[in-house]
Amino acid sequence: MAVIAFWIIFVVCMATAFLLMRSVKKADDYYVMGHRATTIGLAGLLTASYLSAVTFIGIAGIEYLNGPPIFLIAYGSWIGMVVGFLYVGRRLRAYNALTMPDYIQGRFGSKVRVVATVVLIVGLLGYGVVQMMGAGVLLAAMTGYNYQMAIIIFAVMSIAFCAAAGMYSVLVVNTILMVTILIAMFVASPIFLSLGGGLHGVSAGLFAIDPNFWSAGGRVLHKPMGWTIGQLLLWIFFFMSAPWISAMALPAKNDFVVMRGVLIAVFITTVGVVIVFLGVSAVYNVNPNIKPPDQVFIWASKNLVNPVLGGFALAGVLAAILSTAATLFLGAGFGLSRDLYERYLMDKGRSITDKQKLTYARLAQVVVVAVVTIFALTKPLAVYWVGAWAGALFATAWMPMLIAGFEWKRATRQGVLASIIIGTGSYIFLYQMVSVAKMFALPFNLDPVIFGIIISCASLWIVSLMTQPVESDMKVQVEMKTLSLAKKTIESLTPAKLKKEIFNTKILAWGTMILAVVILGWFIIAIVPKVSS
Amino acid sequence: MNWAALLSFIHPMAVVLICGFWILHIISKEYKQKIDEQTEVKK
Repeated sequence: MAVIAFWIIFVVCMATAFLLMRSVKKADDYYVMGHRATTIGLAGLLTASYLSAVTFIGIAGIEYLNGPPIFLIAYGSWIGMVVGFLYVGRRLRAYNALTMPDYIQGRFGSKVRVVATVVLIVGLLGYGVVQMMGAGVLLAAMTGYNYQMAIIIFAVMSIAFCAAAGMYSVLVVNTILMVTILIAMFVASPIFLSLGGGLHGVSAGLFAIDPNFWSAGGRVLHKPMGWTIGQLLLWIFFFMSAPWISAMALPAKNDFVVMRGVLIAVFITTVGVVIVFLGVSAVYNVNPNIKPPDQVFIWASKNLVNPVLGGFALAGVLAAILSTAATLFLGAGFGLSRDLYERYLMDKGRSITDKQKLTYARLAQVVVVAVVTIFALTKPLAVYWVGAWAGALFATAWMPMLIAGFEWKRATRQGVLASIIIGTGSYIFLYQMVSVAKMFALPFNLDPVIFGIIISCASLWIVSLMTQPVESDMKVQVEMKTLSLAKKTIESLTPAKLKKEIFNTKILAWGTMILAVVILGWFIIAIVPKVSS
Repeated sequence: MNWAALLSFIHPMAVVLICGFWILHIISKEYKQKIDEQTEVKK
């Protein structure tokens, strides 16, 4: 059944991508869907781009062995997504950037753009390797093919999907496949939980086996508090500066689509992920011997639920991985084609037609997927740890630059370059010394990423104070402070429509908050007393 | 009280609340004022 579900998705994706090719006539269509995304489309895009192999395979495996709290506490990507969308994304949308490096070019000039784009591409490729590896594990388990063949199939799917219609492919297929993702989270996972003893089994049951199942550091990993804080901050800063998250605001029709889209996505990803993590933790009561543990969701879908439901659940995981992978590959491809190559041609005084832009963008997709495939075939590390490493790059190199760019007129090009280079370099150095070679421990056992971020921010501040900002850069910062997505949205709507949009958005905000308090409050009441000694 | 268990659910709840209140603040600060200005101009 899982095999059939996979081939159905394969055909749906390919057919949709090739049908949509005809709608892609210019670069705007390819990069941001011509700013036509609706609330449901954007919510689906954001949800599916957020959920990935890291959630359903990497972290699921860690939760299975260690218990729910280790990542429910450290999952900073939730708040990172909110900040990335509402703080960064809205500003980029108001600025009318097609990509994040567009904004960096305007704010800090071409040298910073080139360096930032190189870091962007490396980080996206790294996280793309994670998705490809996760897809390989999933497809191998679903189809019976070996890991290498599964990777090749996924690579072919990704190239065709991304190169055909760019952002259109991702958004439309997401909307179609969103149902399978919701099945994985809200139908299959509750069944795993129920078969694992329900809320009593996952709480008192696991607590009786080992109280460390309900500790912050985890039953097996015994991570110190410094690690938890480090991971929390890493994922907050990573997702806040992750280009493929904030760039999801760019296809939005208007500001209300941005706001309602993130409300729905945040609700689904918080409540849904809590249920998934409780579900996979409960699977330990059914089978404590799943190896490798990364396969827990796959094993449970194949063995604990009806085959049709299990097939759909696995299809949902595949959809989440494909969506995230596609967004990453598109981002890296845009970086190569638009932010590096097209800019290089424009600097040389050569004009490029829209048709040429589309061709370069599509070729770049092929190159990106090919590189990621080669790395994924070697299976460098477990899925989660490669993801965390790629995430740390964004947290140290991009986050200080973004905040300084928006808020500090005095930030200079040299300061930002120093921040990117020294921040990234210090993180890589500390990671190798502390986590790999174990030559020394950092104070309070804090993760190297914390120190990387501090060093990056300090470099930006000190070097900016020692150098002079460019007049045009400061003008862009001032201009951006006056740009308002709200103003653009108000001008584009009639007063009656505006009133309706405000009303609908407020209702949705209150509705999601009340539901989240009720559902998560119920978990607190049902679980916390049973795991408190 | 098991603080790790409590935080496991307070954390996601807080995220939804932050998102919701942030959006209500955006609407109040950036939209309502503009609409009130437009209503005043019409009067």
